[in-house]
Amino acid sequence: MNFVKRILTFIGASLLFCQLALATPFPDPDHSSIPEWIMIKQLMFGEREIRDGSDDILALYLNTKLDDSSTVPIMVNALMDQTEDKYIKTLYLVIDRNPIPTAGVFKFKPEAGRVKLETRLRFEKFSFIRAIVETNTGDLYMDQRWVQVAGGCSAPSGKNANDPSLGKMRFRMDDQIRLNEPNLVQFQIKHPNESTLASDLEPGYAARFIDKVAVEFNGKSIMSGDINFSLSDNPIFKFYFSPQAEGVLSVRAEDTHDTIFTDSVEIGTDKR
Amino acid sequence: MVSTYVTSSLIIRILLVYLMVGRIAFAHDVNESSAYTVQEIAEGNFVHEGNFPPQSLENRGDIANIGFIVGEKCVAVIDVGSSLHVGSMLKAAIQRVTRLPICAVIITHVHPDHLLGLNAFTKDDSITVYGHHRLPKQIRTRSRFYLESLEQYLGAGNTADHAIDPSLVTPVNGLLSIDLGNRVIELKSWDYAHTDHDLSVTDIKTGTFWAGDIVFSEHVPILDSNIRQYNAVLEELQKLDVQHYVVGHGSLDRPWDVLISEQQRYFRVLLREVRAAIVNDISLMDAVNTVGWTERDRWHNFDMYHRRNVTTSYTDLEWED
Repeated sequence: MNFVKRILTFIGASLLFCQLALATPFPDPDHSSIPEWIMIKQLMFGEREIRDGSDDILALYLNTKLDDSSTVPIMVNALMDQTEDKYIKTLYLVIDRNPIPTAGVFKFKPEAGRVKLETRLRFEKFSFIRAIVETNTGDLYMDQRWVQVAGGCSAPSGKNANDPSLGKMRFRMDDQIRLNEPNLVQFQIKHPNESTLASDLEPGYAARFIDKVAVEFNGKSIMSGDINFSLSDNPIFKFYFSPQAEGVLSVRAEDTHDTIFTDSVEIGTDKR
Repeated sequence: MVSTYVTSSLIIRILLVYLMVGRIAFAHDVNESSAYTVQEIAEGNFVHEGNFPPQSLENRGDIANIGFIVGEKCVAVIDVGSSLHVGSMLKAAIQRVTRLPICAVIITHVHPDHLLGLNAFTKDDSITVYGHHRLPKQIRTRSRFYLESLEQYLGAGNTADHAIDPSLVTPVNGLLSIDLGNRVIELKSWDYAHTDHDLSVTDIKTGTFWAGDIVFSEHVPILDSNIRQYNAVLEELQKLDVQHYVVGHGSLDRPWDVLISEQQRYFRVLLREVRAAIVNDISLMDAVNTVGWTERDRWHNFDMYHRRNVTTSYTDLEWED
């Protein structure tokens, strides 16, 4: 209804910027009765049960005060270890009210030791963000947060896809890698990850965003993701992997203009 | 539809009533213009001091310091406020000061509190609107959001008369002098400061520098561009011989040097601590709540804008070599 929209505009309105976040006196809505979610859930998971995983399976973290709807850092931590018997196979990030609600589908391996994912997201409207994991046994668990920022997908990107450093990657990890236990690794790709809604794109131009990332260690997949412009520009990923030997970590990313970006880094146990 | 999960809230109904009342008040303060004051801060330079941000129903969007410079031939307006209402009050104030025509309207940057009153002036063909050469693009890509925000006061669909035509802007790239009649003012476009399209105005005769939002007074600086280049601009401003100044927000009574040095200190802290956070692998999620918070008690509206400044600098500096 119109007045609800007006209230949301009132809450979200900002003067000096077009995007803003404010704490509001309203309680969070009931996450299970959001109409968009009911539809998304049916399409993605059919009649399958999604259990609350927040006690022992996974935890989704966000700042309570958010400042920029184009750059919302989030962190998903598994509360269970990855073992051959029971492990998290897939992590779905769903933003109910984004143009493409499935922000990312990430695949993990039992060898990761533990699942974690940190990234940054865009929010177009006030919405729930949901982290849903699927275990190897086919069980689904969810944790979710209500997010009150808007305009992150339609904001002008201001970034230039012709930037000569397009596709440049940055890796980050501890100086010394420990074998056979979870080590944090981070990589980031220089890319505008253009949203189809960005107000500064020329009409008729197909937004250029990364839709696939794949990470391998010594040629074996350790993490992969189907993503889109719900991820912020210069997409960033931080996660665990447990190497059994020294070797080469390589990343391959592909964007919607069919450009493939690759880079790799040598991982040793000695101080690099 | 989406409304089902919120409509039952009593708070919303109260807020709704508040909005309706505010909207009526916003649209109907006809006789208020006499209370709209300007002061002559330097000979020929008149400023209306806006209320302190943020915008509210009480201050009716009158939150920016805006004004005009009077020559012997005509008047140049510098920024036009957040609505036709504010723009019209400024126009009336000009007509109380002088009978000379307005020949120039200068927009310092795209933000709505400086821009959206423009159409109060544009009906007159003899007025030239000046803006940074990147302003037209900014108007094209951002004004939709600003008009949506304005609907909270004017009602949905009632903001069409505020829509700004970007082709009206005469672009300024570098320096441009305008003679108002025995009074030359100099416009300068800056590359990356508060935004990527700031335009400043200097009244040569009195040494009055109209900074727009490049410099803030008391109000936490807002970074909508690039922190390193903004710092370089502040260094340049420090070298100027400024006798009088106007800044977009906050008190105009404080020494110019102090404003510059306070802002430099803020950016120094921000730059140093953001770089340290990146080196020490403090994530952006944590950095917004820790970086630069020693500055909190020194600025107004810190909680509202500081985290955003951290995000803007962090996501830029993390690519530094």
